[in-house]
Amino acid sequence: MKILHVSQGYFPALGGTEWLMTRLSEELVRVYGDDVTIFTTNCYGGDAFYKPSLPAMPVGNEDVAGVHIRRFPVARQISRVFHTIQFLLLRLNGSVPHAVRLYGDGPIIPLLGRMIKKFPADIIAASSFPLLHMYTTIKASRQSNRPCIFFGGLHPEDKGGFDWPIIYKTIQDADHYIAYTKYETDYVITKGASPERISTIGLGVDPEPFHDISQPEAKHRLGFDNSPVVGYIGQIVPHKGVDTLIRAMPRIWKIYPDVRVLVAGARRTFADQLEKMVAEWPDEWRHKILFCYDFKSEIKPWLYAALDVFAYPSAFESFGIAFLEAWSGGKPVIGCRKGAIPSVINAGRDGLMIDYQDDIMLAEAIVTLISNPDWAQKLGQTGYQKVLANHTWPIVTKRFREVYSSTLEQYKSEQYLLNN
Amino acid sequence: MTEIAQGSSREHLLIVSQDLVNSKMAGPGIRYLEMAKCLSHELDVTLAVPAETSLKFPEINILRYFEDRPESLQLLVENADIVLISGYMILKFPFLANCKQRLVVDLYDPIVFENLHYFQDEPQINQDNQNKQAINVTNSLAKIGDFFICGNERQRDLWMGVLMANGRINPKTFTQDNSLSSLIDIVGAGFPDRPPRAVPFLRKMVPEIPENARVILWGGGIWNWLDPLTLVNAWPDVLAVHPEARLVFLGTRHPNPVVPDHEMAFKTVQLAEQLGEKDKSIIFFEWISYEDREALLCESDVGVTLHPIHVETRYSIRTRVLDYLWAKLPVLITDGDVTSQWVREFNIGIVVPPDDSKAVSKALLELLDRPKSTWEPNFATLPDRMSWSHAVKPLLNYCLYGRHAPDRVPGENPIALPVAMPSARPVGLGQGILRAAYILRSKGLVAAWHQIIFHLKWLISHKR
Repeated sequence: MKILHVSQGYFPALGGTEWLMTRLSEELVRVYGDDVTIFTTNCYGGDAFYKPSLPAMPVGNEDVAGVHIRRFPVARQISRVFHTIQFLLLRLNGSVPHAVRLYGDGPIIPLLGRMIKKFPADIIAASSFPLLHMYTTIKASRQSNRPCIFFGGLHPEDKGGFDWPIIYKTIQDADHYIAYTKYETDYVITKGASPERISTIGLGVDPEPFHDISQPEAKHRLGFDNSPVVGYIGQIVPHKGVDTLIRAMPRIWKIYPDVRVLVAGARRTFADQLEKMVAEWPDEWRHKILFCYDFKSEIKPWLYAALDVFAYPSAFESFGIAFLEAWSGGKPVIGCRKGAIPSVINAGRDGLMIDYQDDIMLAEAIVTLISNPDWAQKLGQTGYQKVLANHTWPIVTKRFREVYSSTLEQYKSEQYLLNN
Repeated sequence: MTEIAQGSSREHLLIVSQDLVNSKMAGPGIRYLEMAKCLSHELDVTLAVPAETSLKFPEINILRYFEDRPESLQLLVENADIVLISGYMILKFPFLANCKQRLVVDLYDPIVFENLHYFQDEPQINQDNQNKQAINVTNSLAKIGDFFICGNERQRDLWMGVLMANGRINPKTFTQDNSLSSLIDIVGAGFPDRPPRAVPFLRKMVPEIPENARVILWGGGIWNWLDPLTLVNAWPDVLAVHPEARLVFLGTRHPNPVVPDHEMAFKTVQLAEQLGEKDKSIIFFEWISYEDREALLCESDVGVTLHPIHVETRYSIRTRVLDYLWAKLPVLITDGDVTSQWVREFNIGIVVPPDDSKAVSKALLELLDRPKSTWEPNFATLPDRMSWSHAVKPLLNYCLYGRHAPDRVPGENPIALPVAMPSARPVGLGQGILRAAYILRSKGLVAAWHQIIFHLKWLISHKR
């Protein structure tokens, strides 16, 4: 099958969509021998679509692991103007017209539509909303008579980003929609999508690197002793709830004074706020927390391995790949009863759920898991088995490919009927 | 539309026991442990317990909650699909009234009747307060449950009245199921699917019990609403014919130290002393472990439970009788309760009138004259009808196929929660001193000392 993927970023750019596109494309080439091309930007992250000062990758073509990558330049100066307008309107008006938001967030890729139309793919798949290239892709697919599949990575809780009718009109226009969770599926159905044209396919992980690391060795490597370690690994941004974990810790220390905390992830400006919170703590508490920013990807399994409890009290996730990584290491997880997360965590069986920003219940969940290590291990092992059964990249890729094949067949049948 | 499975699709039931579940435990703990073990074949089951336990079973999660940290239970409740509660829990954990999970209320223990006995010797104001509180608790439970379970048909009739008075028998629940079985059903007591394990316990281990002893077992607590005195009064007549007979009381003291002593236990010990048979032919254990109980059942020849005829009797369910049936012990029982009907129906013992020591001694002699093995065929059909796996079926069905009650909106129960009344239990230092003074006055120094020691032990175990 000749497949064209369209995405806002691709490895070495970081992010959930970027990682999905990379692993999915590579597996389709490796396992099925598909001819996969990715059209993407030359940016490392979403900020770079409207910030010309940020570094960018070279534009052009390259092949990595059999995947043909074409990186397009982004018109950042235009987006910058729209982004400034968006900022001002938000300040003055409290709301922004969708077009302003769309062009402000970008990525504006001037040649993308034309190149998609020209490219001889059997099928075209694009991710993710609410970005501009999704609309370009559906328009170009329609004009060139090829089936189009979206995996939108919706975060319905993020009203500013996702509460735009045009997103759901565009999803209805697609030949198929791939949701990551049942929650997302139900949501797009309520927004008018046809249930027959939706598949729920979770995301994937490579569990091996996470699974066989000795916990004492990992703790030692990070400078911890054998005390329990509770940790957060993810972007340091406000909606991820890492501040809730910080607020929960004093309550935990009343019962288990030896517990250590690890906060690890890509540093963003919110990290300053967290550090300020910690700076107000007494010395004896401050020494129990370790911040670990912008680590190399090969360090990540060691971070997870050191944990006894993985706390990821985020407000919204399209899936929450961090849970899969924690389960790959056999760790019990704590997430929030919000958005797609209840579709990912099976409450009480492979993790615990709390309400968003509820530091009292987060503390209680951590204490309960530390108090019951056998049970905590059972939850982690159940999660690990779930990963092996549903969320390895070969399994996830197989499901994606089944959807690609059936969509292509159906598209051909419909075209045949139309033309005869 | 295709969809991937996200792990176990089994329902997750949380059973909350308000009594101890440990090697030593009483009826409620045994009930919830056995129910949990049985239901775990088809459900994910977590058993929440109020104190540390040494018990471990791979098929169920046993997790502790803390009364002084309600969030510890709230976390477990919010991470389950279905929650089973009972008795006074609603007082201690008011959040249960508004939980979004399906709520099963276990009404097998008629606390209003029990309290009438329990607090009979207390000052009138205390009795009235306890009564009001028990009624309020019962009414609150009736309002918040999605599904109710009880011990037997008589109880079901009783609770039907309570449910009706609380507005739960209405067009919505009637339309759902005009038999109302999906509102309230019977989950009585049962016994395990395997036979009890026989290991040496009494003979050779307890010096007062010789190898040839014939053991008469009082196989549960000596509660105020029971009648062990008639049995002890009948004892000299039995001993005259069967000097090798021994009367064994399984427990004089509830294994949960927060449960106050029962006056009846003191009276029974006192009577045995007066007869000069205490620690000779009448043996009292403080309480024995769940495992030892099995051994004791296997070594016994007759199981006894006697009670006066009163309102508690009519609605009670004597779980100890199920133990007797499990061990195929012929049963001596007073007329009037459900279990005495079983004894008649299956011809597995003798039913005597209340408060009649002559009838008791005559029946015991008859039972001892007949070899235990000759009763065995009469027990043959009981496992199919009275095992735990049979007893829990209505609850299992509800967990698998049930839903929220049609007249209850999950998370919204506009009820006035009962207020905790001054307790007879020593919850604070001041109340503890008052309670100790009361026991000192009414039961003497030894009883007061006993109570203080047990309470301290409980405090230490809870702090730990």
